[in-house]
Amino acid sequence: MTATSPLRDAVLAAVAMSCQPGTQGQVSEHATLAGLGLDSLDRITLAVAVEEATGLPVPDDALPGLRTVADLISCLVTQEEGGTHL
Amino acid sequence: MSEARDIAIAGTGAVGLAVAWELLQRGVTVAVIGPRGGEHRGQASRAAGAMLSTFSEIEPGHDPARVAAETAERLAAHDLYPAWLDRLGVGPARAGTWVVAPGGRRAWLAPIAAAALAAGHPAEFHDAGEVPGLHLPAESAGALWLPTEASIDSLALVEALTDAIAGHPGARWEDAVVVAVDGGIVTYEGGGTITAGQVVLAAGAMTGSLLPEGGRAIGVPPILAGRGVSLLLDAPGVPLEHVVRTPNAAFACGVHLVPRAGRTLYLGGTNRLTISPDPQRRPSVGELMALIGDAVALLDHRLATAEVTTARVGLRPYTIDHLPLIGRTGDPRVLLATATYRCGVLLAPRLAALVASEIEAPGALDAHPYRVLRPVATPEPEAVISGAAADLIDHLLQGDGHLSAQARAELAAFFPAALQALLARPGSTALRRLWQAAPVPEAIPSLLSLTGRPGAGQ
Repeated sequence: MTATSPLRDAVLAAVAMSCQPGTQGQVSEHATLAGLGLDSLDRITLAVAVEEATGLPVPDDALPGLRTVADLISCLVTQEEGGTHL
Repeated sequence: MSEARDIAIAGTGAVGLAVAWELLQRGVTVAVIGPRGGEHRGQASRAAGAMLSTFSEIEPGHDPARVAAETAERLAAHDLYPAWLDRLGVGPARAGTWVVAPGGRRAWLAPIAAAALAAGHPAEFHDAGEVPGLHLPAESAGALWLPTEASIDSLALVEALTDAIAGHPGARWEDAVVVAVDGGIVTYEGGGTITAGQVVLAAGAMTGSLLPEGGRAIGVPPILAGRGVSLLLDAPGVPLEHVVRTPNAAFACGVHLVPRAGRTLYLGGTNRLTISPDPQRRPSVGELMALIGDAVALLDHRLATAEVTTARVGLRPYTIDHLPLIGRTGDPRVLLATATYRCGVLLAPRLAALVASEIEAPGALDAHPYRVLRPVATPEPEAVISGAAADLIDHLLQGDGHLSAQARAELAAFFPAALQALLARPGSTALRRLWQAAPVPEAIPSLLSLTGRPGAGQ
């Protein structure tokens, strides 16, 4: 994974915005989305927040496969390298 | 491992196993890929009450064409069931279902009775006090006895299918979670692959996540998940001989009790839409409160003294038009057998026969209403929202709550207008995304819940 720092920072900020106030301090690349208390609805707000912050799409069918914050960053890096950056 | 098999089946719920067993009986060799033991977290079959509901899933607002198509297939399955269970060595289904109407909802029994009578099956109206073994609340509005609607133990069924397949010389079982299906190749956890002439994908709510691009390139419609929580109870105080259920209402399957062996009662089930299913997520306090609250308030207050022995989560797969997905996709090597929503256990032998017929004679399902490549009608959003107002109020009241008639009417008028305004607001991107992915009545409670979440654009 070769996440550039701005992309990584944008994702971490979006995750922090989408999770409950009590878990914001636990946000890191290694944190699991379930561990941060993000259920399926929170994942939608997370996907929207990430798309708005990075310009990269997070499709609905990618959501079930995302276990950790790092998975989400990987998903975006793959798209960035594939040239789908909006 | 390069052992050749004719057909690979990805998925080990009731439908996938039924397809595998049907093909084996027709002399086709199969490879089954999916967990054989373990918890099967999130699997709909093992969390299911396994009511074999030929008629009692029908709701007053259902489109008559949908009711006709679904009832025909459910009756076909009903007719196959006795011989199918007999061949599997599973005891006969337990016959008889009571559909009980909560206060003010007697009209919900009418379309169920009408469908049964039209099909030549008996349907008898009774007073609520006549349901044996149950102390229904005084305000219950009546009961409908359907003597031909049966139930089975879904765990016993999947175990019998597992044993029958695993012991068959024509079968190979790869005991691993499927991670991808592409053409005729099934990839499972650990990186192993199985190649077959054709793959039957019966992975329920996870189906889309296993296919490239969610299956869009091969014509697979979106598959939604109705997350349901169910319980097994040790309930010596509530001695039931038959299924007791309420009609479906307020986006949920009606609350239902299914007698199992000994004094065990199955209690189901919640129903919450999810477009990103997480099979590992355990039942939440809110889900348990809703399930138990409804059961105690609508069926029998004595359930409060029962012991909870097991809690399960199942992800029921369904489509936007609520019909299953059976047969060939746009890739002739990939077939689906899924999206059975609340009726997978009932439909399993029927769908297995349909899939087998398509494999034996490609094109056999080209005119079937459940074919994968059908046009899936998208519901009219305004109609869904306005039609769901009364259900939403019932959903929020949960069981025995009350509103004055005037407050109910005002809320029913206010809610659709408010939701339309909310969806049109510039900051409501997450709400619109959910609504576009799932323009179905089941999305309404999720829209309500999403509105208050952090980052949802308040």
